[in-house]
Formats: sequence, C-alpha cells, structure tokens
Amino acid sequence: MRAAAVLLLLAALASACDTAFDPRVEDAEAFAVFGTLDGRAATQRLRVQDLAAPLFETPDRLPATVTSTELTTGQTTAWRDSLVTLVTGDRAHVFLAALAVAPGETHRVEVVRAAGGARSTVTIALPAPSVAPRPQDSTDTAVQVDVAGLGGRLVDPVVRYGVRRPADAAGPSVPAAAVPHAPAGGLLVPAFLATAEVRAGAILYGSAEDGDAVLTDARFEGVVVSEAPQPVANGVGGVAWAVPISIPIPFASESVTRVGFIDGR
Amino acid sequence: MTRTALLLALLALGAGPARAQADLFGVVADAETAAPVAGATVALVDAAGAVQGRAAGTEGQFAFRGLAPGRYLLRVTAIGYRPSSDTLALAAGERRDLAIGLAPATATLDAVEVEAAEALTIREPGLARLRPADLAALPTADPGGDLAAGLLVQPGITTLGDRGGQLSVRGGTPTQNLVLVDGIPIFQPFHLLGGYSALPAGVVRSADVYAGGWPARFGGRIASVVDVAGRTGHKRRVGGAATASPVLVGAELEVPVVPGDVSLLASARRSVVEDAGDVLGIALPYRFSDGFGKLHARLDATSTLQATALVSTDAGDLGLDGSRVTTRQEAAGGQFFSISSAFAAAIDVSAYWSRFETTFEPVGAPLRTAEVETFGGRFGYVYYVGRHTVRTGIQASSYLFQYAFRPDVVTEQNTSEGSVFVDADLDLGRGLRLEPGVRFQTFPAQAQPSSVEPRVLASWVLGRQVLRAAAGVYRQEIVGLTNQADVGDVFTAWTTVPTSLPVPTAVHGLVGWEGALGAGVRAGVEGYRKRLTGQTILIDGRLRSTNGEALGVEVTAGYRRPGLRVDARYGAQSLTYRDDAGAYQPPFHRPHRLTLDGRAERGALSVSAALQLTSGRPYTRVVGAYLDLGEAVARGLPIETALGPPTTQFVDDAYGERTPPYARLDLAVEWAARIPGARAVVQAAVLNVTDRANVFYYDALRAERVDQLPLFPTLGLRIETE
Repeated sequence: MRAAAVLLLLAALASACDTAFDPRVEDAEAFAVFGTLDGRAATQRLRVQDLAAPLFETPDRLPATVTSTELTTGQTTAWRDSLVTLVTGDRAHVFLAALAVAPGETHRVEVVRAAGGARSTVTIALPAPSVAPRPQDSTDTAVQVDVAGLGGRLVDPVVRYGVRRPADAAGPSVPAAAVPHAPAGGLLVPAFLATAEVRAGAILYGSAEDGDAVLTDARFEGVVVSEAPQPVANGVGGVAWAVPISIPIPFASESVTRVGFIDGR
Repeated sequence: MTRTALLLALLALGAGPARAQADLFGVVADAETAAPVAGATVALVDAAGAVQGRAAGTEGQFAFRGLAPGRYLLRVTAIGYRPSSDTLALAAGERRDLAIGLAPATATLDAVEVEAAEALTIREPGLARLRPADLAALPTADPGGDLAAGLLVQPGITTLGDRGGQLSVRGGTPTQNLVLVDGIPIFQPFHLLGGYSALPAGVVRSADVYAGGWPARFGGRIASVVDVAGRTGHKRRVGGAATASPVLVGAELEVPVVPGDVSLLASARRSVVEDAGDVLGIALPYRFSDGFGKLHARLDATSTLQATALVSTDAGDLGLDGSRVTTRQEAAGGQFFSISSAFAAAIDVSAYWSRFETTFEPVGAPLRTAEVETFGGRFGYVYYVGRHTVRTGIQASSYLFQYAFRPDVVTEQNTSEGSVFVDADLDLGRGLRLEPGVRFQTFPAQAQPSSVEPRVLASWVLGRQVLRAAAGVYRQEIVGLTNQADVGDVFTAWTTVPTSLPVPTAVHGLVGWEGALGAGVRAGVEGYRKRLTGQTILIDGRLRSTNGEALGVEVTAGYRRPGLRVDARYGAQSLTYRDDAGAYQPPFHRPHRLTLDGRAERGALSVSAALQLTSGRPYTRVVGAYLDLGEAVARGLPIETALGPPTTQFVDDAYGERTPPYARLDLAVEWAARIPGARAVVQAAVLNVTDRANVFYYDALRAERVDQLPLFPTLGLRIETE
C-alpha cells in the first residue's frame, strides 16, 4: 500500500507539472512568397502563404496587404488578392498586379500582416545588360561581342539583322541564332558567323540589278531570367524574374560589307 | 591479433587437462520444453567440499575440464526452476556429456526469484537480462504482455513517443540498435503503436539487452544489442493461449510434433485498437499484426536444431495529418547447436534471412518506398580450456537495398560483409573474470573496407558485490536513415554509408557495481561514456555526419519478496552532437529518466503499476508551414496552379527548446482463476491514469499539438491451457 501511495503521489506530482507547449515562434517570419516578375507579362502574379496559419485551412482573404514599389521612380502598386483552387482541392492565394516590369528597374515587394504589422519583403533588381563589340580578328569571319550585366541566364539568344535592299527602303529583318561562347574572362560572348547565319535567312536572296542588300543594324535579343529566385527577407520563398532584352550591336563598317554580301543566290 | 593468438596458445598449452583427469560437458534445459536455460548456475562440489561454478551459456551449455576422478555433487539452479541436485562418479580419463532437465517452479516462482536475486549471477557489463517473469510483472494494455514493455522501463532506453516504435539507447539513434531474434537480424522489431514489439511476451524465453560494451561476437551496430531467444514449445503436450483486449486479439499454440523430441510454437496477433479508439473517442489510426513460429528439435542429449520464422506488419498515421506509414518485416532462420566432450567444444551453425519494406506517403508529397533484405550465415566454435572458454566465429552476410524518395527515382544497392571474432572468457580466480576479444569486420565494396574492433569486459565478484567494466570499439556500415527533425516521420531507408562520409564509429567505456544488500534488496550503478564519430543522421533531407559524446550514469534498485517485486531505475545523461550546424542535443536526449514499477500478488489477485518520469526532449521551434513552390518557380511553371511539398520552417537554433516533462502511470489489476484444463486471467488496466497530456509532436502543417496516449482503459481476457 505504501508503495502504491508513493507511486500515485509521484504520478500526481508529475502530472501537476506544466504541460504548456507552444513551439511556434510568433511572427519570426511572416509569409511565404513565390512567383516571378515577368517583363513579358502585363499582369504580375505572386503566391502568398501565411506561415502562421494551418497549411490546409486557407481563409477567403489573406489577412495581409501586398504592395510593390519601383525604387527608381518611387511608383507604388497595390496588389489584389485572389483565391484559386488547386488540383488537390486546396485553396491558395494569388496576388495580382497590373504592372509592367522592364530591364533596369528595381521592385520591392512587401507583404504586411493586417494585425501586428509583421512584414516579409523581397527586392528584385532587373538587369540592364549592354553589348559591346570585340576587336575583330582579320582572319576570322565571326563577329564577336561582349554582353555585360546580364545578371542571370540568357534564354533563346537571337541576333536579329536589319537589311535593306536598294529597292526596298524599309527592308526585312533576319533572325539568326547566336552561338554563345564562354571564354576566359567570364563574360558571355555571343559570336555569330555572319556567313552562316545570314545564309540561313534566304530572304537576303538577290543581289540583282537593283543593287546589293546592305546590313543596316543588328540587335541582340533574348530573355534573361534569374539564376535563382531572390530570397524573401523575414519570410520564406523566393521571387524570380524574367525580362526580354533587345540591344543594338554596334558594329564596325567593315563588318557590314562582309556580313551583308554573302549569298547571291 | 598477435597477442590474442599468443594468449590462446598459452591457454591451450597451460590449461589442458591431464590424461587421468575427467571432463564433464552438458546442457541445462527446461525439462518440459527442452529449451536451453541460459544463465543457469551449475555448481560442482567435490568430496572435500570444494566448489567450482559455471554460468550456463546462451544455449544452456557448461563445461568442467580437468576434474580429478571421484564423486561429485552437481547442483543446478536457475530463476523460475526448481533446483536440481545429483551425484556423479567420474572415472579417470572419463569424458561425460550430461543433459540436465530443470523442472519449472511456477508455484514458487517468487521464492525462487528471491533466492536468485540474493545470489548474484555473473553477467556481462552493460547487460540487462529480461525474462518472462520480468515482462509479466509490468502493466500492459493487454494481459498477453509484450517484449517492448520490458525494454521501455530500462533507464538507458528512451522512446520518441508512444507511437512510432523508435527506441534510442544511451544516445544512439533508433537504427543503431542490433535486434536479433534467435540470431536473425530484425530491422524493424517494434510496432508503430508504442509498447508493442513483434514479439508477445509468451514467445520470449529471454532478452539480453546490452546498452553498451558488448563482446566481440556482436557487430555491425554501435548503440545497443537486444539478443532475444524465442521460447520453444512443449515437447510432451499440446498447449495454447488466447488473448482478447481492446488493443489486440491473439493466440499461441504449442504442439509436440514428435513427442519428447520435436515441438512447434506458433503465435499470431492482430490489433483492434483502431476500432477501440473509435469507441473511446481517441484517434488511434493504427493496424498491426505479427506472427511467430519456432520448430525446435532435440537431436540428442546435447544437440539441438531449431528453425524460427517471424512476420510483422504495420499501417498507420502517426499524427493527424493523414501521412500514412506502412511496414512489413519478414525473417526466418535456422540454427544447429551441439556441445560434446569428445571435442571439448561446442559449435553452432546458423543461417538467416530477413527482409524489411516500408512506405510513407506524406500529404502533398510523393510516395516514398524503401526495402532492405539480408541473408547470411554464421559458424561459431567454443573451446573449453580448463576454467576458461575461447569463443570464435565467422559470419558472412549480403544486403540488398532499394529506396525511392519519389516513385520515378529508384536507387538500388547491394553489398556484402564478412567478420571474424575471437574472444576468451578467462576465469582468473578469486571471482575475477576477464573477456578480451577482437572483431575483424570487412565490407569489400565500401570506401573504408575493413575495421578491427577490440573489446574487453571484466567482472569481479566480491562476496555479494560485483564490479564490472567494459570498453570497446564498434562500427556500423549499414545505416538506417530517418528524418530526425520530425518525430511524425518514421520512414526509414536502410543503405550503406555514403562513401563521401566516414563510417559511424563508437567507443564505449563503462564501469559499474551491483550488490545484494540483503532482505531481498539489490542495487546497482553503472556509469558510461560513448565517444561517437561519423554518426550519419538525416535532418530535413540533408545527410549529416555528426560527432558526439554521451555521458551518463544509471542507478537501479530492486526489492523481492514472495508476492511482491518492486524495481526502480534512474538514468542521468548528457548527450551532445557536434557538426557543421554547431553543437546541439538531438531529439532523443533525455537528461533524466526515472522508472518505478512493481507487482503485488495476493491469492488470485495481482496489481501491477509502472511509472515513467522523463525530462522533456529537445526540439526546434517552428516558424510555420508552407507549400514549397521553389521548384515550380525555377522551372517557370504557372504559379497559380503550382504544387509543392508541404514544408515546415524551423528557427535556426536547432533543438534549442525542450518539451514539457513526460510522465505516465499505468495500472493493471489481474484476477486469475482456474477453469477445467486452463487458467483464465481477467485484466483491467488503465494506461496514463492521470490523463497527462504528454507531447508527442507538433503538427506544423495544421498548427496543432499532437499528444501521446491519453487515459486509456482496457479490459482483457487471457486463457491459457495448463
């Protein structure tokens, strides 16, 4: 009996110990934000999740406001909440903004909790690449340029030539795939063999009696996308970016003739 | 190695018997089942009253060599059996093989136990030996009992919760424990519902639990060894038992296939706790079942052949989030054992096969599957040299692994291992025994293909006191990877250690004292230190190689008198892991643990109780949960419809907080009645009597706390044929 009493007493004492357990850290990090600022789209979209809420209980409205500010101009855009249903049947909040983003801009997106003011932020700087020609090697038919300030991964690079024939002042444009090189020095060097690429555009056909076609300009085009999403401060997730670019390639006059008069037939 | 060989040569030369002397070899076995009685005390008294003693080995074997011709009194005692005495007349040069049958002493079990408790047995350091009486004394949710109940009250064994079946021993991870059933390795010996293993108490003959410092004959794990011997069936009559409770229904059957020589024992259980939980309003979404069979044959007086098979299945949801886990463990093996005075040796030859498969389907994430299969064999040879024993053995195993963390990416591996061990049990006189040994283990396909693991154990009996010490090196090339960050995830993928990581290694050192203090009281204390290097653990999908140190002390005390037994155990531990994340205490660290249990019997009634008090466990605070859409963003998928795995965001301070302490009191009352040809036991039990809300884990996906078992009443019935 004494042993039983001791056991019960110990159990009662132990049970009287506090059992409070709250492993959550309130507002240490507020929101999860995922998405891409896309220069090709007129409307931007971000998925925003409240870290403080149960994952599978999505309220009709997220208790948060989302705004973005373009830091160069100071222009602020309010994003609006929308609710989507996933294939799993769960719901999710997608915030939308009628916002065009362009190279060289920097956007700061802020998600602020309605009560308490906890905020998660992410700042996306869109690159403004530039193109510069390399001194041409007289023995090489390739024209090489350095592209600087990409800040990301170049997708589907294209060199677009503008040509004009004497009889056609407006002239057509001829796209040709660039051949990326990665020389020592680190910068991307799209090199294009003028002969090969221009021949690919048979539209240059015809150095007829109305005169030879001439190259009027060349542009380096493509889409630059972020290597990795920009991490969210005081939150989790990441926001990527994608911007189309179209940059004139300055070229020396001698390369014009060499490029422009390749294929007569 | 050279030193060991020299020692063995010296032993063989110096301690060999003279031609005129006699040898006595034998096996102590249960008179009814022919099961070996491991640990039986065999005393030989000569005409002058001089006593020589031996402790029977795991197969009940013993040997006396170099005896002077003459008459002897042979007395054999063991817990749970009536003492046996006989007189022997040994002639000069005689070699005799002897089979000793001990009659069970069920009617006077307690008295025998008290006697045995007073006479300290010589056991190895770090070892706790569980017998059926120990398991029967603990309150469980059904009257059939279970091996797990006996393990869970050990001071150095902690569990992550009463769900999941994950046991940690003295700072090791749950997959660092070697569990053998009749020599067959079992990858998943426990059911998801805590308190239940694949083995009901009724099929367990003994379980040796080495919490550290085990001898060279065991290898391949670094935290503990649980060496379970299955019971053998009755050789002369058909018997059986049936159990029904709100947790499970089960049956056991024993049949003499060849009366007197061959028996079969079979057991099957199936859980019903899911349905009972519904009735009680407690979410217990588990189903499990297990089956055990053992065929045992006595070939002659000192030779046996046995075959064992085991199957265990689980399906369940550990928390509330609907993530399903399934497991299936299958195993089979056979063993031949013989001891013979003609060779002055004992041999055992065994072969085994074991397979484990598991699946886990987390909410919103791909199905994971894992499978491991091993087969192999052992040859063991024991040579008796005077009072000394030299044990050696060789083992070879092959492993096949297959796992997939997503259905379309399946990894398959295979590897083989071989090992050789030698250890000598040296009786140095004056109660001092020394057991030096060495194990050589090789994994030809691994980056670190071989290891030499020296071990040494010592014990010194001083009257009613015994001092013990052990030290050794242990290595584990086959690892089970379980996400340690989330106790709700018990998915385990077994594999070889990645070649880029070091092989997990532990160095154990322990020293202890145990004494019989009189009046039925015995006590003990054991301190240990484990230096851990290269622990391969998985946290948040990242493999870490961790070093660590475990330091602890365990105190035990027991009281026995007829009709009453009480045990108290306390363990204090300091466990620190260190890796590139810094220093931290892993989730199975428990600074303090106290267990009290006891059983009192009066007539047909008995009351048992078990109290567990344990420090809170380390955990990492949670920021929240979200669907990780990172991959969708990287691949440029439309964000409106993107899906990703549910992910928990933790704070950077890993395991910086502790859960509230764990406390649980279980009570059981049994009433036993004899009915014609059988014994019926009605058990009423209440688990977690005080209905304490013990934290199991935090379901971050639902922002809900998940507690362990609440107050759970059961009423069970067991009928055993007599």
